[in-house]
Amino acid sequence: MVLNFNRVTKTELHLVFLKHDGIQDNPAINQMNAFQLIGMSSCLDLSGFFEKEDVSERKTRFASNYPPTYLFEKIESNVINMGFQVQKNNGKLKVIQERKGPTNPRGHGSLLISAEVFEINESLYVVELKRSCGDCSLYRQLCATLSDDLGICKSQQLLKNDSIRQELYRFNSSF
Amino acid sequence: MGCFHSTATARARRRYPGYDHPMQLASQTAFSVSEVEALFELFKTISGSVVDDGLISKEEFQLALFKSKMDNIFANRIFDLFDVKKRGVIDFADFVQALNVFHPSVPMEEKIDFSFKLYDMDNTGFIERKEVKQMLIALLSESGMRLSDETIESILDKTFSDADVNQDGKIDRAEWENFVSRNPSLMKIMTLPYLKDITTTFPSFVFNSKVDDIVT
Repeated sequence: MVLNFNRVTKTELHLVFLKHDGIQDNPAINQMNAFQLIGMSSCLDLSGFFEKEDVSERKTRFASNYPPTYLFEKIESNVINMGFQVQKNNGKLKVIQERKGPTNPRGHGSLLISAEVFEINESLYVVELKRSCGDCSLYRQLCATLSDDLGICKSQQLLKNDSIRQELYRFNSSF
Repeated sequence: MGCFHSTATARARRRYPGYDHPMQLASQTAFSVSEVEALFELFKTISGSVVDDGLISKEEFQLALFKSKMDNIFANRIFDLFDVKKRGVIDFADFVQALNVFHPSVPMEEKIDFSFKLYDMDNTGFIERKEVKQMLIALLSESGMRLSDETIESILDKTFSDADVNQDGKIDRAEWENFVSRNPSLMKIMTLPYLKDITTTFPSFVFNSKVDDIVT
């Protein structure tokens, strides 16, 4: 078997951003109720009967304090840092990764991920990343990077950071 | 039922207790005969994964859905709703009847019914606030998300002020139906698009296909 190292393997990552726009006047209406949150549970998802992989390879979610516009910007910059090329088209973000190496045995790979942001309150959001098809390990890598970078634990850790605490103390004591 | 398939059905019943002929099940559900046959292929795989007794145990159910033993309140509740006869096992007829509710063509009324029973964990006929809190905490824990009790309570406050119209601290069947009509996305979990393509996912070459050809 001859491995062709000059062939470029293209893996297309399609990232679709879904944002729930506030069409109604009352901002509270756009906030998630308990059942919408509960319905996100992987344990209420019977698609497991028909899929070979565990549901965690298809759906991930994490909480974040960052607002939707910032989240989408950061997701975009993260995928760029991961070596993907970005193409924006019709409100959808299309990302292509080109890598040189042995030909992917499955041929031309295509990874389709949708990112959806839900609001719990003005400072609390839930990001859900769903993979429709494509490479699982790439998907997991992306999810881990994004939840590390944008997830709520990160902002809590920042507050624990001494220099920031001192900054806040100085700020508070000036009143 | 027809005489030309009674011996075959009897044979299948010995191997798979509670088995009903695909034509019988198709007539009672939104599935076609071939779709029921395909579900039988799926059922055979699941029911034989731990103990090959032709029935789905709780463990086999969890393995099929989550690829591991997952003991959690939602998984347990769903199993209980599939296990209509309350015997701790699911037979083929139970399996088809329960999955039927998730078929895209089935009336919303049935889905609303099922979802109400799902969330009414202790079978009181009401979805109580403490039950919703328990389910919310389970979801957060599963997702690795930690929210303060204050935040959880405010989510519950908002939900109950919206859904609990008579403000008695619990959601009854009528209030649930009303709430769902205003929040249709809540029924997304009650439909499995996979059920429309089931004959391609699980092609079956069972002898019954000959019967199917004659009938259709």
